[in-house]
Amino acid sequence: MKLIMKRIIIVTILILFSYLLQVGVFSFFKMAGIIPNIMLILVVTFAVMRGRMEGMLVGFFTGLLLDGFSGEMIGYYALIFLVMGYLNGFFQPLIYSNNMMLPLMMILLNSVVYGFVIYVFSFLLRNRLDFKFYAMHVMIPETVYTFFVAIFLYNIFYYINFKLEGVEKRSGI
Amino acid sequence: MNNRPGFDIQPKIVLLILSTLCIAFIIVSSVFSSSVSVFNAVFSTVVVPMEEGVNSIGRFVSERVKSLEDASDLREENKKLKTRVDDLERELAALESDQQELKNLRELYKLNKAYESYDMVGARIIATDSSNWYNSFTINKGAKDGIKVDMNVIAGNGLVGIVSNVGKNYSKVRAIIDDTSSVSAMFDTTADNCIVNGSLKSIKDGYITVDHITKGAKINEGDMLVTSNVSSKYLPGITIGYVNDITQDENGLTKSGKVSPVVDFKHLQEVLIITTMKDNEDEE
Repeated sequence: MKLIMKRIIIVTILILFSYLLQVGVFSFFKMAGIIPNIMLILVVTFAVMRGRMEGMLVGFFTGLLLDGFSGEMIGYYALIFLVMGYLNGFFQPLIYSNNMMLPLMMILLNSVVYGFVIYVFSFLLRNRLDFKFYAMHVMIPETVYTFFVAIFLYNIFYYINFKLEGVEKRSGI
Repeated sequence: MNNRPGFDIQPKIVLLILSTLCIAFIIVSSVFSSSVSVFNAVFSTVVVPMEEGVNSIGRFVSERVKSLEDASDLREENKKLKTRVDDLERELAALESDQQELKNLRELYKLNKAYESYDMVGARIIATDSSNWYNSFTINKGAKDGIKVDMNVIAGNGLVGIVSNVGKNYSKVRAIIDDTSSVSAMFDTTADNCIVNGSLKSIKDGYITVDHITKGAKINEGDMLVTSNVSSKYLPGITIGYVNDITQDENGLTKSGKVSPVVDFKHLQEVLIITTMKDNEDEE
């Protein structure tokens, strides 16, 4: 039980860390006016490393945090990230060693889908029809930037999880 | 091996429960918008102080990085500038007399002075929006500093936006360039009403859009737009920006155009919140 607590605390810190990184730090390092989607990296990484259940929970709380500050509607990002965490969790059995290729591809794919979902629900439904513009100026730059940040962040998250799992395994769980 | 002991519940069931919860949240928060602020209060106490801390670190680092880049450029620039100083000093003397004249004229005009009588609170921007789709930001003043939803936010001489959300020690400001923002505006010269809409698409080129200008309005490119008297939330007479590219709409009844905001949204760090609110004014 103590180990679960430890994991919960560390993951909570990671969620906060990612949030602060996204809104606090990267807002100073925008590229073409775009910030990378750190929260997405976190959710996808934990989903593919730890499976559906944890991916889902990390996604849910990450989304809630975003909702808490987007301020309009509670549950919107929570639902998106919840489903994202769950679906990516199916890929967990495919991840074995420290092979970055698949997780990075997953992050790339997720970022595209995420951008598309946000476009449909927040913009298309308000009659903003110029999909090409939003793809060129928001979705694609965000995906590219997120991908490059992910190369670094994935390793950090992977290492933290690796350490955590090490402790858990040694304790015979 | 399932890595989470004690969690023998099927993921599918958890998914179902949590999604239902999310949908319930969405419905509750859209129907009772006041419930959102209760939820925000939970986060504000924990995250906002951290945000402020991280923000100052981020600013520090970005300034350091910049100063390194600049050092070599500066030396060269310094040389050039020294020669320019001499030229400029001569020009300055000539300008100073013009300046005095302008000052007198300004006083007569009293254009931008209209809203200096309002009570204002200064605030610092501590976080930008967490996504690339919206233009809103968080400031470090909240309910305990007397900030309320729908207060107007300005910077320098122009309208920045409106407080959309208030927590104990922070508030969210929706900028006028946000895609969901629309401000009831009027032309400073003719008092013709129109609507200024934020647009994610056009702000990439540095302008927002204005529409619903009546066909007969006698307006020129470069005219100034201010917030309208008939707006329900915005105080009248706050500068929004300057109009250009006015075109006739297809319906033949209205015109629309582009607005260059007077506020530089890219480099915004401090803002002023006008604590006088439109509603209060009407009651008086």
